[in-house]
Amino acid sequence: MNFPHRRARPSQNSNSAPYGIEVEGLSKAFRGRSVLSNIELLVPRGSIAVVEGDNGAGKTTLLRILATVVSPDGGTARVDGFDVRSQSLDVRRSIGVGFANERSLYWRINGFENLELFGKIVGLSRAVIQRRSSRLLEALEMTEVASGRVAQMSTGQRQRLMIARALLTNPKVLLLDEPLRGLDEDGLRAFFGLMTTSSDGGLTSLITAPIVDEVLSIASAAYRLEKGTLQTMPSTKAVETKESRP
Amino acid sequence: MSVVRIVMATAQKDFRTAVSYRVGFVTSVIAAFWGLLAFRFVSKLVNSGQFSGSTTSYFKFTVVGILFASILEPTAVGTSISARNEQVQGTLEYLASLPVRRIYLGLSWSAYGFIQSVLVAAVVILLTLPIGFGVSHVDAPVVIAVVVLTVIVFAAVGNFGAALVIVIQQGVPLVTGILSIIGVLSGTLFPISELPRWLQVVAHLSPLTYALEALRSALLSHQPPTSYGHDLLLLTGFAIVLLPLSAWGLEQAFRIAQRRGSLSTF
Repeated sequence: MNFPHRRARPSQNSNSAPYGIEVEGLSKAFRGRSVLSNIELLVPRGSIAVVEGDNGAGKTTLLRILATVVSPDGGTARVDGFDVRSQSLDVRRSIGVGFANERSLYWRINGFENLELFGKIVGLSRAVIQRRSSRLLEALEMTEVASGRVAQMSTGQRQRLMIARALLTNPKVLLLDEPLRGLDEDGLRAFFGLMTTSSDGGLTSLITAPIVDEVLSIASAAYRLEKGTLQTMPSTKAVETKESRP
Repeated sequence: MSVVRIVMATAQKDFRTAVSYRVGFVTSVIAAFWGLLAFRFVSKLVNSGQFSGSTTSYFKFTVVGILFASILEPTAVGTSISARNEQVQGTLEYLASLPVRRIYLGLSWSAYGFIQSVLVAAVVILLTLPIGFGVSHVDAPVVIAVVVLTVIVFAAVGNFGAALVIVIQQGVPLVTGILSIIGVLSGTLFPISELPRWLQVVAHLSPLTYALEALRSALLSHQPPTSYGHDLLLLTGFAIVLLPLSAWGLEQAFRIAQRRGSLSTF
């Protein structure tokens, strides 16, 4: 396996860590069935890594471990320089998460109220929530839709709302599980635009997708997860484009 | 304080959700008042019997017991129900990914149930005034202290229930069952002196026993504040022990679910 970015020494905190995401020898099994095996992954700060894989390949488990909602069995994982096991609260302060579950929103209240709720829970002021919500919803072309109940939104609109929620805290690392699910052409364009802007602003992102082709235009690196092991995908046009930037 | 912020934000969300169903509050008031109205007539029978020797009427005795229990039950059971709802809705896993201490989540889950039940109790008290629930003297500081301490204790009980929900996807029936037993044993409907001796010993293990004794003394009989000291001290002890223990239990429950990868399982 080829790992283009080997870490020189273990990072101690978010300031000294050269990588937004560092995974080494990571493994996870559920009821004796191995889901992830000896995963190695380094995602430099400000870059977008895409992990593709078939259903059940372990993409969601990898993302959940990085989001600290699933504990690894072996190996280490650091997000923004913080260990997912021993510094989970610090990790959670650094990340924005979008799970591939549209039911992670409250359906009986509207989109704005969802953003307001989660913003308040993490300690954002009302003014900051309003300012960031407006900016994100506008970027995702959701301003009008967000005033309606989540229950009345389409799958793609809920997906956009979850992306807005993930970015609400201005995270240093963004973890999105199959964010393209249900997005139409306008949604994809808005998402790619937002991701490119955020990446240029220093955001490190890990995105999973069943088929990586859809997100290659914004990806810095792409990996394939197959039967619990991660493989670097061959050099792509997207990677070349990103790396050839001045 | 972050715990207050999280509790209020969650209570606001639960309020908005409850309002979207419209009839919840009104039906709660009607149900609570109807239940007490029945005891108004029962009290006519009881007051002519052994209870007639008491310094207070049986109706007032039960209004205090039932209304206080009706505040505590949603506080405790509401935590388990909310945890279960978050689990089934799919929001539990997302909440677990937020930089929030798990005990704060647990406390926030009980907030709306508590606030709503206090409002329902307040309306029901107003409705019971014309039918015989008069209070001539209220020792407000004692009442507030008893309510705060007992709510903390029952929020802790709720956290244990939520921990069970997170680990085994069940817990609501268990908490409801425990509260029913506590309610009967602690003197909600009758003085614990009517219980067999051995059950009286068990009753004194329940924090609700001391809460009701202090509350009835503060509301229905004119006793000096020093006479509540023993009850308040014991309630404080229960709160000091149970709240941190429940925080630890909830944290362990999340850890178990994280190890199993079952936070999104229901």
